[in-house]
Parts: sequence; C-alpha cells; structure tokens
Amino acid sequence: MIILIIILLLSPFLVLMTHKLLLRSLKNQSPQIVAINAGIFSTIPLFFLIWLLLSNHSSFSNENIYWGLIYSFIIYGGIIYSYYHLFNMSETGRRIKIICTILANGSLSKKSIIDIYGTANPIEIRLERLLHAKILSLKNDYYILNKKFLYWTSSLVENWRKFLGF
Amino acid sequence: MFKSIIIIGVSYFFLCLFLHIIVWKINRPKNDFLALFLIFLFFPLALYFISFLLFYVNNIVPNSYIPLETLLAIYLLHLSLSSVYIQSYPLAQAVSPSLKILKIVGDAMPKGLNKQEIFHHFDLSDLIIKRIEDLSDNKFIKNENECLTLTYFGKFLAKFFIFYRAFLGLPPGKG
Repeated sequence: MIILIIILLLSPFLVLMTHKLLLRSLKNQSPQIVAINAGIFSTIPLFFLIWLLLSNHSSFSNENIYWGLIYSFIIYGGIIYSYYHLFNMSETGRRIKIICTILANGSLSKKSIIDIYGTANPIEIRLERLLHAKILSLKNDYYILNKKFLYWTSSLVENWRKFLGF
Repeated sequence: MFKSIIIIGVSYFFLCLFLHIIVWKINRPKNDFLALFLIFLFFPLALYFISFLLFYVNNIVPNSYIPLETLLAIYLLHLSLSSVYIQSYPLAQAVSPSLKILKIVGDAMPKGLNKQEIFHHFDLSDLIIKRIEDLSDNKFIKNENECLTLTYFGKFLAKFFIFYRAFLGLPPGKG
C-alpha cells in the first residue's frame, strides 16, 4: 500500500509534465482545455501502473483490487481537479496578477494597481477566453451560452455562496 | 481494506466540511484561507496523530492497532477531497466574473446579451479593489502609508506562480 501512496503523491508531477508536453503540441487550443487534457491523458499510464501494482499483490482479492482502483480514482480525480484550478488561477486569477504586479514594481498604490490592471480589461479578457473555449459564441453581437453544464455550476456556486453567508 | 479507508476518509472530510459551515455561520473569519487550512488540513492531522498514538501504542487501547500506512492512506484521501473544496472556495468567496458572465448570459437565453449589457452587471473598479482587500485580509499584502507591499507569504506565492508559468513556457497570466 505504501508504494500506491507514493505513486499517488508523485502523480501531480506526471500531470505537470504531461501538461508541459501538450502545451508544445496544442498551441492554438484554449489553455484551460489543454490543462484538462493533461489530466485526462496522464490517467491512462497511471491507472495501468496502479492496476498492475494491485493485481500483483499476493494478498489482495478481486474485491480489494476493485476498491483499490476506486480509492485511487477518487484521489487522482481530486489531484486533476486541483491541478486544473491551480493552472486556471495562474491564468485568470486577479489576486495572482495583483501580487505579481506588486512584486515586479516593489510597491504600488491602489490607484496604480487599477491603472496598470486596466478596469475595462477583466471582463473583456474573460469574454475572449469563453469564446476561445467555445463556452460562449457570438451571434449578431449577442453572446450565447453553448454549454449548459457551466450555467448550472454557476448557479450551484452562487447558492453555496449565499449558504455560507456571503 | 480499501472500502473502509474510503468510508473513513470521506467521513473525515464531511466532518471538516460541517465544522467549516458552523464556523462560517457563527462568524466568518477575516483570514478565511488560513481558517480553511486549519480546519481541513491541520485539525484532521491532529486527530490522526491522536489516533496513531492511541492505537499504535497498543497498551493504551489494546487490540486496536491500525497500521501507519492505513492512516496515511486515509489522510491522503481526506487531503485530496479537501484540496478540491479549498480550490473551489475562491469561486464562491470572490464572485468569479467568468461564472457570473455565464449565469447572466444563461438567464438571458435564448436571446443572450450584448457586451454593454454584460458590462452593466459589473462594477469594474470593484473587481480589483475587493481583491486587494482580500489579499490584505489574508496577509499576502500590507498597506504602509498608502503603499501596498508584499508580505513574506505574498512574495512566496507570487514567485511560485511566476516560476510555474515559466516552467510551462507560458507568459504571465492576464488575470
């Protein structure tokens, strides 16, 4: 079991290296789509390795192998999800951009940060990203939602926010 | 064996989630990220350490030994689920502009919204000012004589992301 734990602990590096390789070959793709693909593509070799490890363990029954795969899938699913969010934060995070801007300049006033950031940009940038990822499309200057799944995700997040008392 | 690990690990996660909801309902901490780390990562670590002591030192609770690797497997599952929640939390805490765009456009379907109608839903300087306040509350930046500078943690975080983007061969994010 300790070998399985070590493999799962090292799996983020597998996702990272797969992501780096995919970025070279999928240059015109939306960066978020490439990050998701990195998680999906790295699943195959990893789970083949895990299945080999579990099935070669002399004391594991078929039921234990099955539950071991489910256990690994839950953890790895969490790792891919967390990695995607880490990447998305680096790509779109306002707070990340603010602290990187302050680091580059030493110290800044609030007004300077707003001027450097550009107040009109955050929404424009996001609309471009959503178009590039084909989540939205443009029809006669009107933005149309292509993927209902993210609309429901947005509603869920809004309700969770209200539940937590924000 | 793995079935029990899954049940215990998931239960620990939901116990922490319940604790998080209670704390937030009573009084949401100003430094909410630190509170999340304490609840989801350090509180269960303390519980696991106590479990390890109680069960490993067999003479405290005889015949109830749990191998260290089993405890590690449980904690790893809990850690993975906690990481999912902690990574998702900023979407709820900070009103993700992307998710808000999807919500307002989705609500306006089938016609959709034009750019001006979308812009109308956002207070553009608020998008930045509120995030500066978050960074200050979470001790990533400090305000000295109207000048914002990074704390030690802020510098570490900024350098981490700069290094990460450079490693991937990408320019800095646009925010």
